Amino acid sequence: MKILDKVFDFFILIFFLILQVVFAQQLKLYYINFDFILVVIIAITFKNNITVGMFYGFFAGFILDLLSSHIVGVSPLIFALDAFLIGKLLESGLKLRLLSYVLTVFMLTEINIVIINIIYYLFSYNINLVSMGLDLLLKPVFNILLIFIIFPLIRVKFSGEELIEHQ
Amino acid sequence: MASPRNSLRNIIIISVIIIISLVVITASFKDVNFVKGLKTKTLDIFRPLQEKIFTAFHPLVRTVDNIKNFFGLSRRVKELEQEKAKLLNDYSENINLKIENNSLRELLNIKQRKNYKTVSAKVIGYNEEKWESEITLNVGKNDGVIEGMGVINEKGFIGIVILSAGDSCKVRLLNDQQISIGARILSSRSLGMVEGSSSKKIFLNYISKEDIVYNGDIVITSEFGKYIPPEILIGIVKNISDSDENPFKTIEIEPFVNFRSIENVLVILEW
Repeated sequence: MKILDKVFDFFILIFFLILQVVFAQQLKLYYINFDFILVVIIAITFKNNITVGMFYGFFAGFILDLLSSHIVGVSPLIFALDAFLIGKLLESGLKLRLLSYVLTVFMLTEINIVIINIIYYLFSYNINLVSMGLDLLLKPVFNILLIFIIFPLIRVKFSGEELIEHQ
Repeated sequence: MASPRNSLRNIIIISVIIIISLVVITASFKDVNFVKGLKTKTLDIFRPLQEKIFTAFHPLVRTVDNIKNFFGLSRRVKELEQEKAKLLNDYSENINLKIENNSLRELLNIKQRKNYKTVSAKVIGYNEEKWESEITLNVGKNDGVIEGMGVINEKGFIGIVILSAGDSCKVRLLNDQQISIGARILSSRSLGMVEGSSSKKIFLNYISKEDIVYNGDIVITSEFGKYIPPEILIGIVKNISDSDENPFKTIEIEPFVNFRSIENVLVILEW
């Protein structure tokens, strides 16, 4: 049953991966900026465990970069680190409730934006501070909205209980 | 709480992932063939799925586009009326010029410019990040498309093919900060480089301060591109500025092509 669950999560991940590559990019033209993969990885890590989260994050990031990025390797690194950070938060006693999810999504979105900008800057790309500021402001809001679609789909609990399975 | 064993296992896994990612980032930045091969294979594998989802969601995106455009309709009508009046003025002048041009060509026995050999393609993916502006097309190596070829539509130049898989390819758009193509100002024939930027504005760089450039000047491709034919329309000069630190003019270009609404394009195979 657990394996079936993980396979189901995997297919959801693939679906949102394609949606990210095709659909989210077009929405960006209207300043609507969703990061489907990040929210799916966060949900999968909360539902399963850090190891699954890191592997799925690495895999999804790798495919995402191969499909739509100049530099391959940044997204797998970021998403795997996100899953690892969630693990650390859970270790320190984070409970599975809506507020925790919102804070996690907010925090990880902001961290990702900053890390990605630093990595690209190190690889001689120009950083546009206005666009980065806009990202820092808008992206978390849209990602938080995604919680209400993706978390129920992946069947993450909203009950407030501590997770026993996680480690 | 996590057991120390599990905690150690997770630290080992994340360390391995960090090392692999850093190796892949370096290889990707150096454009190693292995990464390029992986990219083309992934494009081929995901192409059918990507095309289907793109087609399925496209009406939704168009609806958002239409709603957005609706609010600017009255302004657009005024602009078009002004443009129509100007075009009517130019029309009679152009007919005279065409007749004159044809007779001069006959006199000089110059052949008309050849038509380019092209392949038509449909956009199946759009990717606009801060770092890149790319589209994915449904043609690839099997249709004769290779890296470096120019992509155009009826309005002008769009971009360059940067990655060609079997049945799809990636095109870097003119507003990508990594693009750089030779270009001329049509009136003065001044030669420069058209380059994108992180703000998605397009600039014509390396035009000397001594050169005379006016707002509204037309910018075309130069004759020095291996795969890009000369005299394809790129855009018009929108803004010109000088600064003491820069020995060249800063010239912003407004492209003729609206990158947000590209649907069908032509890839130039031969010229």
